[in-house]
Amino acid sequence: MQTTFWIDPMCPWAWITSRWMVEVEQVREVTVNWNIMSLGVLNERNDVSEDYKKLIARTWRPARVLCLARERHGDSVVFPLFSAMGARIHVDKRQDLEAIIAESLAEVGLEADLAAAADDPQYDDLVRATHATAVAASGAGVGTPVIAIDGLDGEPVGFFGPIITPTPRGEDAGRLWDGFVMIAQVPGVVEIKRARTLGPVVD
Amino acid sequence: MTTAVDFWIDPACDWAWVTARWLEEVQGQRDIDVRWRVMSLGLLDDGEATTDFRPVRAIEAARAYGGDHVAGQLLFAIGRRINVDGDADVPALIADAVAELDLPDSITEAADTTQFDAAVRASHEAALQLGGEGVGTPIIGIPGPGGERVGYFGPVLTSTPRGDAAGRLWDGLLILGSHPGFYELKKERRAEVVCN
Repeated sequence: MQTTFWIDPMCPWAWITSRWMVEVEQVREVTVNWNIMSLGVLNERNDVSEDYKKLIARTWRPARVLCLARERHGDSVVFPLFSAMGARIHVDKRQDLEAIIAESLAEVGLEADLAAAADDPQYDDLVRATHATAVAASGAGVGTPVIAIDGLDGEPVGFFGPIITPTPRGEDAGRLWDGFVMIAQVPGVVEIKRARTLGPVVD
Repeated sequence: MTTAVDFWIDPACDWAWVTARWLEEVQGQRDIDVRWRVMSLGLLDDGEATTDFRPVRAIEAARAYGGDHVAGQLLFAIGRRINVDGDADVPALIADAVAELDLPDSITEAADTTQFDAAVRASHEAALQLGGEGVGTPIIGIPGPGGERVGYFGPVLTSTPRGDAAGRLWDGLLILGSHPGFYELKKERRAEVVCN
């Protein structure tokens, strides 16, 4: 089965779900098409606190670099570059985006000059365009990550989530995938939710 | 082995009605035992009874009279009148539902008193205890990790899945609920809710 998975590299919840997807690929016949969405675009029209605005402003930087890297090199760079950034941001809990971006580009073997995109708003249109494909899948008013699979009628069905913590591993990851597919393919399902009693546990 | 399920609903909520109808469908397909319980839209909104308390009072009165099974029957009889028939005359539809089930008039009368408000509030609190604050109605309580109870808002549905789809949604929900940290799955509500 093919699935499309949209992430913003700055979101810890999306990071956990992405590591779950990596596990799922090991234990189920699933191929993930990795894609990019943006916390910056998600929160553009939201009334958020000044602190959150500052955080959101930072999210444009890795997103722009990811988008330009894909523009130059194609979809296959999205996963390794996102993973290199995410490991530094979420696992190592680093804040120095400039170094994170530079190191991630080097690790994946991409040109160092891609880093300049981080502060160049001319790439915002790329970010907005890729974000729009996520919103087309899940609808508006949701968050990151977004995941889409084929419905039983062949039409894609997209959801925000699944929001989970910590990352399910091995067969647990596979079972969660099975459950997700069962639910996602039932026409009419729009929401299942409970209050989050734990923050994102990155391991 | 029979799986015990708790389901909290305000019968005045059309979304909760669609989910209740799904769970009714699952009863015919899987070995589940549903305890139909009430929560209140009024208590959800601002902690005050701004919406009509009478249907949930009547259901709690029916529970005191005849137990969970009778409460469930009255819940469906009232919910159908509100959500399917579009009946807006609350006192009349309660009286009508009570009569349909051959229950005593005292249940209809109790809906106009505060006699069962404590039971309604306790039931509502139990729902929030399990599903958490800041969600909505319905809340479903299912076996979670290690067999303890876990509660979710939803599953929110734009229409009631029937047959095999209803069973698959149940199976999938049990799987997701058994993961200790599964919190959310959501998409935009693009379709109007369909009650039947």
